[in-house]
Amino acid sequence: MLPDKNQQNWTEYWNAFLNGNPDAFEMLHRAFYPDLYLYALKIRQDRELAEDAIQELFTKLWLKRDSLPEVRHVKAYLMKALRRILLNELRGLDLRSMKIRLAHQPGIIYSAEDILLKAEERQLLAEKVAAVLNSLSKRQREVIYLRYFEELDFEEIAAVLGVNYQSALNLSQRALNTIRKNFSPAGE
Amino acid sequence: MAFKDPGEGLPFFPVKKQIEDQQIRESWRNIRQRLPNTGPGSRKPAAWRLLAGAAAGICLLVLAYLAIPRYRTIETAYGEIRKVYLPDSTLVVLNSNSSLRYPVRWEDTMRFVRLEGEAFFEVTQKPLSGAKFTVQTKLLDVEVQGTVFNVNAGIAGRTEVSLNEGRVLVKTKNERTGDTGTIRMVPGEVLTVEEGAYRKTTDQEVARRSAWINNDFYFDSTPLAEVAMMIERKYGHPVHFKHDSLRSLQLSGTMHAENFVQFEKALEVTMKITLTLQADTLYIGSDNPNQL
Repeated sequence: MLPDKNQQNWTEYWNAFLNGNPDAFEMLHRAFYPDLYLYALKIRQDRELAEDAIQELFTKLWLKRDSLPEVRHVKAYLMKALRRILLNELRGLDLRSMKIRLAHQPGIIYSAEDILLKAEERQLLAEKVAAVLNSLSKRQREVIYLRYFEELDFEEIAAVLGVNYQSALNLSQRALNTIRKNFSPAGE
Repeated sequence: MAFKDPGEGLPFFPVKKQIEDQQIRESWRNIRQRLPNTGPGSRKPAAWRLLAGAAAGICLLVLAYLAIPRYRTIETAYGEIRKVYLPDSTLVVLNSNSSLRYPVRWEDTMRFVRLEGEAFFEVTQKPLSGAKFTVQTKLLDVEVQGTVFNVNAGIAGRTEVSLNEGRVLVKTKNERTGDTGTIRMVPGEVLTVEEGAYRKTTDQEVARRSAWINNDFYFDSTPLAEVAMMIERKYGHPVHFKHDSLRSLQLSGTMHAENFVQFEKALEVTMKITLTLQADTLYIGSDNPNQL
């Protein structure tokens, strides 16, 4: 029985992979591919790019396994690494001479398909909810995604975003407040 | 479609798409292809092979033990850049398609490495012993104490040393005649050894020559033909020009690319040319009649 994706048992597979075990490596790919792919797709909205980024991530991981650390939260580690690859991809396309500003924060865009309303609130359009989500700041959007779609805990979210625990918590709290404020089922 | 309970405080259910098994398998196949032969998923040896391998391994071990000195070799794949710290904490950044060999039993009093391809060095100074550090290449040896420099021995028959800081002593060796020579370099100088002769130039911004360590590329009226040679060397793609006139197009400026795809796109945008990769060969063409 494979461990749950958000459980720490994956560190065993991770360690086996660090020791060069190809089966453990394939297992990691198999287990985390869907989450990574969807996350990449959310960040860049480009299927081909999402797939490329994952392939690059796993290729790099294998080639550099000698210098990789042991990690506690395998999923968060992979998401962070993937995020970096996607951002670098953005950056690499920018030519210095063209003076294009670099993006340090991916802009996640939600769509109606991401949302299922509770039965009693069906009168609301999922599109509307998506619009509310998209009105959040880029960071808030990403925190919501990591917290509720990927079910990471705040320690992991902080690691992915490269912020401290309290900031991750605050970001999420502020985002939730905004969502609730704009989410008025009755009326309107 | 899969959905979970709404998270605490979230007024809706987050929905995540289901990913087909087929897609995951396809992705894995592609990753496996990108990895070296020793990578995961390469065929597992049968039991007898393992035994034979073990026996051979023991023989090898004995041989390796007898063969002194022993070396460690670090190699980079096409498109790969690798940082290596030597036992004396000297930093070596190895460019793509290059190799670095150094003694396993490292001695700080006799520091030397053998380089094929291109590398950037930040040599740790040993002020007490004053021990030298030597980079050996086919055409020349670079002897230093503590300094920062770049050695490019990646082009057949030509080696270029550029010095960012400190002092180096370059000892050239002509393989045919056996002649040797000694050249001193100061910061900002670039030494090119080619066909038994050498020439020294100065570069106001010599650090640009090692910009590649940060995935930056610097071009200064560089003809596309020379860029093509760099692509072949660094990324392993043979380059074919659809029109010969494109070879002399010149490229100036800085670009940043972490991988070949980015490099390709950057080149397309700046040069207004079309690059197509077909069966590993890179075809360079142009839709612009003014360029032809």
